[in-house]
Amino acid sequence: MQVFRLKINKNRCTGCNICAVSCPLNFNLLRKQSFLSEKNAVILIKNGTAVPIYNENREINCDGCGVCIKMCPQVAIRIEIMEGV
Amino acid sequence: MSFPKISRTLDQEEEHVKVQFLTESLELILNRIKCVGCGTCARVCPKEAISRGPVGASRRFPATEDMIPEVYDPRKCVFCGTCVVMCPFGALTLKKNGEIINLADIPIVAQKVVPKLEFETKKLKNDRIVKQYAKATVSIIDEECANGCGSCAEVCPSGTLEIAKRPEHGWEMSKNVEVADADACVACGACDNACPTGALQLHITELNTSGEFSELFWPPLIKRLKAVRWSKTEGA
Repeated sequence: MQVFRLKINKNRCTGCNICAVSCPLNFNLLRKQSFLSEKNAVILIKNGTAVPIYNENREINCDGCGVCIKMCPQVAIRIEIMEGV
Repeated sequence: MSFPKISRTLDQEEEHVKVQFLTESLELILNRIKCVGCGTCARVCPKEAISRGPVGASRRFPATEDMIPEVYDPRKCVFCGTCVVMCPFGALTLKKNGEIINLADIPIVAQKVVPKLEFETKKLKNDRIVKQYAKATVSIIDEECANGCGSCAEVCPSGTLEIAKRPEHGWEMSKNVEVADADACVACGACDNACPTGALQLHITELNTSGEFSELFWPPLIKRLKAVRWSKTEGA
């Protein structure tokens, strides 16, 4: 089980989509399936803000590579280590 | 108050986790400057007390306090010291009652449960010192590589992996990562641990050891050490 999660500061996020397209896992999904949905994407733009998606039951989840954090122009993304681990 | 009391302090340089039992106290210290996030400690741990954290992010933002490459659970830990012995970068230290336990005095080494590691000391960039006891080969699958994410090149301590031309934006198609200097590889496994897509696979081929060891402890440990993140899923 993964012990870290992506967190997004919704007040800062402008929904520019940079995180969703820079994510290497999303990139691979886009290349293979040519679309992103809630079922497979790691981070997705929903209603104007980025939403990180975590699901324990699927194979692909955020890997903590930090590309989106580096790319985000608003510095709205961070990674949080789960409490009690 | 009940025992054991667990206290954890985290700053930019070190992470201290202290477990106070009734009669003794034990402490595991992670030097975050020496640690590259190779995941060796997480792989070799017999109790699975160490799990993988955000490796790539922790190397990209080393100054951020709460991003640590290895997340440690003191409640599962039995303080055997396997991680301290196997860490190629000497980033972990074990303290008992406030005094550092020398590597030779750790019970598993003193009682010859693990064999002596025949290592070669190398100096890498950023004054990092590595004890290389294994050899490995790196292979890259171009179709899986998310061109230009650069996590592997970011974490690699020895300069084995490099991106030929760094793209300005992550989503731009760029040249894939390439093996710049295969001989420089120190077989730590950091690149494999950081790769998000499974495009980079590390295979540990050789392990240099000598002396006696316990049949019950060491062979499963080698198996776990060699089961690097992505090569494990391939073999299974």
